[in-house]
Amino acid sequence: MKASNPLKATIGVLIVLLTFAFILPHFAPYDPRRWATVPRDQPPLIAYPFGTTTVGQDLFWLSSYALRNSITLGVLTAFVSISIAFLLGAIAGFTRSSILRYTLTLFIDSFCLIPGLPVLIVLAYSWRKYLSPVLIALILSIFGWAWPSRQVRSLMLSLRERPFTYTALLSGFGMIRMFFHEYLPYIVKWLAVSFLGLLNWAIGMETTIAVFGLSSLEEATIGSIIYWAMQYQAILRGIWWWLLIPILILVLLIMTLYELSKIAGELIGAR
Amino acid sequence: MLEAKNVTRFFGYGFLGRVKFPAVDRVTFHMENNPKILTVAGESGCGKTTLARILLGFLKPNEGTVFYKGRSIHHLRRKERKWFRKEVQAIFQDPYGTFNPLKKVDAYLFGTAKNLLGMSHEQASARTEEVLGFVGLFIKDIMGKNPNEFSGGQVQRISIARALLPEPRLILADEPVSMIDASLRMNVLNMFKELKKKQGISFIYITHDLATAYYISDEIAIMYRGMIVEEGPADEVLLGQHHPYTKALVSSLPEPGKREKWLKEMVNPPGMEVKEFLAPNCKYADICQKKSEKCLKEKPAVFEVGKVKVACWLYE
Amino acid sequence: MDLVLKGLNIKGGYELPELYVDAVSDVSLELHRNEVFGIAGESGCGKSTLIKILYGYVEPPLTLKNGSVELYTNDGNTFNISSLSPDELRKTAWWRHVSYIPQNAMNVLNPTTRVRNHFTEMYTAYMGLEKSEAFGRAQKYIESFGLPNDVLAAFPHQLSGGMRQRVVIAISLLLEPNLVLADEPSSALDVINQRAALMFLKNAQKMLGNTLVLVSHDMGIQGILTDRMALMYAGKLIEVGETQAIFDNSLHPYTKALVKSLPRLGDKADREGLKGQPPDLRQPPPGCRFYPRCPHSRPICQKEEPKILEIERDHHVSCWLYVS
Repeated sequence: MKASNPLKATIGVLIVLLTFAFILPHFAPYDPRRWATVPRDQPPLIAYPFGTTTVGQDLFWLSSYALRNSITLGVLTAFVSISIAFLLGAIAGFTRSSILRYTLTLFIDSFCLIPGLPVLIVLAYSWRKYLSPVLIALILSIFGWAWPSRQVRSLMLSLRERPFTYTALLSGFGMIRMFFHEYLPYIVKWLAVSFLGLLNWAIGMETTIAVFGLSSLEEATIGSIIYWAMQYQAILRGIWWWLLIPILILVLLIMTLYELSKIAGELIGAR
Repeated sequence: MLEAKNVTRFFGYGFLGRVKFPAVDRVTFHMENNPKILTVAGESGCGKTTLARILLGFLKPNEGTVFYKGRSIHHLRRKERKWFRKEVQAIFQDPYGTFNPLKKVDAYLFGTAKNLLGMSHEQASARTEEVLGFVGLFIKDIMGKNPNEFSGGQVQRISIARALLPEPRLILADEPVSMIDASLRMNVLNMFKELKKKQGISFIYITHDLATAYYISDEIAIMYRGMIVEEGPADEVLLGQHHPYTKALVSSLPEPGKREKWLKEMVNPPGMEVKEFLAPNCKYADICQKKSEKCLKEKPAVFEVGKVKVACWLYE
Repeated sequence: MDLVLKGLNIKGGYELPELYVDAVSDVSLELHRNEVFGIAGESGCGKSTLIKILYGYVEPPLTLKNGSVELYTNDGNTFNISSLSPDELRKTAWWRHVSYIPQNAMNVLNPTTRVRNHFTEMYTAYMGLEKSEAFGRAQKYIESFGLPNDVLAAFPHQLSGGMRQRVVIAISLLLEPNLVLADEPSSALDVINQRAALMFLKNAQKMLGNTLVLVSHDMGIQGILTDRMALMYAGKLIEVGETQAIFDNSLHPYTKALVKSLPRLGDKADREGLKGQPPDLRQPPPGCRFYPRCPHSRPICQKEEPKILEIERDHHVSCWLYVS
């Protein structure tokens, strides 16, 4: 099959990243978040494969912790966002009551138009004392659900008008049964692609606000590493690895997730 | 058996759907108990699909009522709804759209048997085999397959079989052959004729193709912009061509032997303006070749010419 | 010269990853000046593919495996369409000597510009006119077709489907090509609109004296509009001749069955449709492709394909029944 080579490569990289994020942290010889555990400002060597930071952290183990947090945060955001998106979008698409439909649509569309980033920055700043990966995930979800919700609504509206909906009704199937048997395959298709997209978005967003210092600064995330690196003016002082490593990891992760969502779309949409 | 009285359905457009126009405008007709094929003919936008949805109970009319065997179909109780579904079934235009491409077709056949007839799996299987036989198919060829594993003509026949399962008295066929090759259309249309003769099933055949309408119908109603402009026995409507629109439709049918006239006569194709739906006068007056003063002022009443009913001031 | 187009032994189809779909197989035809030639057939017969090949619009996965197509213009030029690439054809033959009206052509108008821009573009690009001159010419041109003037100033979505179709037809005739290929020019239209569009096309043909090729599955339209016609089945040309002869004296069993099955107003006699369906062109059967459905088949039909023979004057058929 033609798609197998990019697919294999993508899955390979994904496995490497996931191992790095979830399996490796258990083997860390020390808590990588604590400062002054290793000599400072060491460039990448055998002893310290990714080098060390100015505050005495081993970048290798720190990155693995950070990646785990970033991914977990992203997954949580995607999950909460999709759930809200699905609930509101499905009601908006399915309901017969035009008042409900109109109000919900207005609500969804408004959230789509509100500029997310400034609001997120303000929220994150207001609650900066309490920021943890979980709270950040919830804050991101406030906006993450809006656009996917529009998609769910359109999907539902179009499914409802398809002739096979009428055939199912004529065959005596009720709305609930129809939902699960007729529509679910289409919905699952959408869900898979959307989830990966949202995951990507969340990781990117978290990094963005982290660079402003508005992330969890005790718990490491990829974004927070970048933040600290900039705080300590790593590039100017020649500590290039402190900035480069997290950026490379981020880029690799996002590209992989993107490829994955593309492949998922092709596979499931291949009918 | 089936009676529609002043059925009207508005569609809104514009901001908040404020401007309303009648997609179906005071449609009134009835079908008696003896098996008949009634055609509802008209071009796209005339409201025939909306009317079909209303007659099947999927859409509620804003005004008017539809009675089936004495009961108003939009006010049925649960049990009665099931009964209605058994009595009135439908077939649609696009064979491949009729079934969910991600599912097996037999799911619908068995589903109909179990949901509407409360059959067990064995009974459903037997009945499915029986109806497939009516349409010339074998159950072993159908089981476990998706719609796209069949040709268009076959899927349409499966669709007909599904409609026959609960032993309906009335089948609504919405453009059932327009997406099938010309050489295969007769198979389906002949099937309708036979089902009427042998099983006493009535059909409402919705189409824009007057030639096939003539072939199978007993009665025909011509729709224009939501209104029935002419109705009566098929022969008299299509060969008599009382309403100017009927005349325009029939004369535009491309049939060999009509060359000279077909290519020469002035034609006024109807536009798609909403204002035509909203006109307080005769809706066809805009493009009518035979309009008079009265046509531009008042909506025409219905006049009887022989066995045909025409809504046109020409027949006052 | 009386000949406008000559196609010889055309064989073409679609190259897909694992297989080849034999859409058009060994088709030869000749088109004359000032005639309306119909190509009829049902789904999968290959008529749309053939038209594309005749036009030279051959882009992957469509490939021309064999055969040649030659276009002879009024002023004595010859274009070997089958050997020219779409780019070359665009510069030389397309629009000027041959134009193509695709299916659902009413949707090819650019929705973001006014209709007149399509016309002025043609004038400025192909005839080197200035924009102001082009606009005046477009007005006159539209009027000569009997179309209302305000059509030019409108956006496509403001016009009805039928009107758009007529506009597209007018554009295709602008440079007065010798050959016009129309693929189902009216199948998306309602009966009355269809009549208007086809009348338009036919009257234009009479006025300009060009050759119109009308591809349509609707035999009624074929009967009314065409002088000569060809019937295709499963990629093969099975009958060619004068339209009147094909209807009154159909030779091929498929043609006979098709013509007989057409419903006519005023005739309630019982009719029958064909049984079965056309063969799968990914694995075309040997022998005559109509064999499985033919009521008059003989053993040889299953083994060998019949050649196309002239049975009566200008009436050809490809069927073993007519080979003694």
